[in-house]
Amino acid sequence: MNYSALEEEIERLHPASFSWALACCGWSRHEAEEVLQVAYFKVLEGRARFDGRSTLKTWLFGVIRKTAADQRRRRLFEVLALHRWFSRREAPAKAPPADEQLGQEQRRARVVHALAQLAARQREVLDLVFYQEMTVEEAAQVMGVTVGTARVHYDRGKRRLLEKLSAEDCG
Amino acid sequence: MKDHDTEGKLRALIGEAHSADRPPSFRRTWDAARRFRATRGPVWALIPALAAVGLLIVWSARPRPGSPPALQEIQAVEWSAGVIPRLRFATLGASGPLDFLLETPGSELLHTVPTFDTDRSFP
Repeated sequence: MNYSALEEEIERLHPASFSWALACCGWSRHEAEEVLQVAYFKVLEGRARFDGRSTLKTWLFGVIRKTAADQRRRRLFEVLALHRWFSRREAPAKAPPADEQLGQEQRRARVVHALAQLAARQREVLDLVFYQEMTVEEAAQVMGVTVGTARVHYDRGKRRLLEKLSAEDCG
Repeated sequence: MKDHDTEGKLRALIGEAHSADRPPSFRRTWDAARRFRATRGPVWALIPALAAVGLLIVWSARPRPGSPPALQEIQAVEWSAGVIPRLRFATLGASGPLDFLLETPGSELLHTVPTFDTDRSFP
């Protein structure tokens, strides 16, 4: 695949890639943008090379997942070094949401919170299957695990997510 | 059927979690990655420079001929001739500004053993 065709394909996948980056970064928009930028940098530099053994989407999602894990580790060191304290950013002021938006936002926050309580692999496989419309086999490729392992995370993740949400409904 | 319902519900819930995603512009993200690539020089270009600095450090720290040895020996007290304690201070490579304090009057008596010539004169 030549450079311009690759760029075109990546542009087509960009919204899905961003959603996936968000899921990998616990819905932190700032972190997801950074992860996506570093993932694109890896592609441009040739550190991540598409060899055609899987679909481009599966490969790109694998690169994003690995980049997010690397960034998470790096951020941990930064936190330990109190770097974050110095480079703290001011959160942009948000307009107060209308009542209808508030309800929707609350529902969204509840699901995001429940997803955040799952193990990372359970969260990832559920996102890939239910939002990115991948099969469990493709999700396993993205996550770099066997299909059997992905299936176990898929089943446990489904059960735990429903438990978390019903527990929140009751509580 | 029940499993199918569960999956439909999960699909809707996760879709809701993504309802406010709003991705940033592709062009902006892609160009930022490209700029980052342009500003970063290749890492391997630094290797010869680092090697040259390392060699310079090793060369400047090498021992030079004729320079005083660093610390040859420290022997506090050495008994010689079975009687007189002979103090032999360390032969220090560098001479400090306060070294004269170590030179006590009559210290030569501590360094030497008196000998008597045949004509019985004191050296």
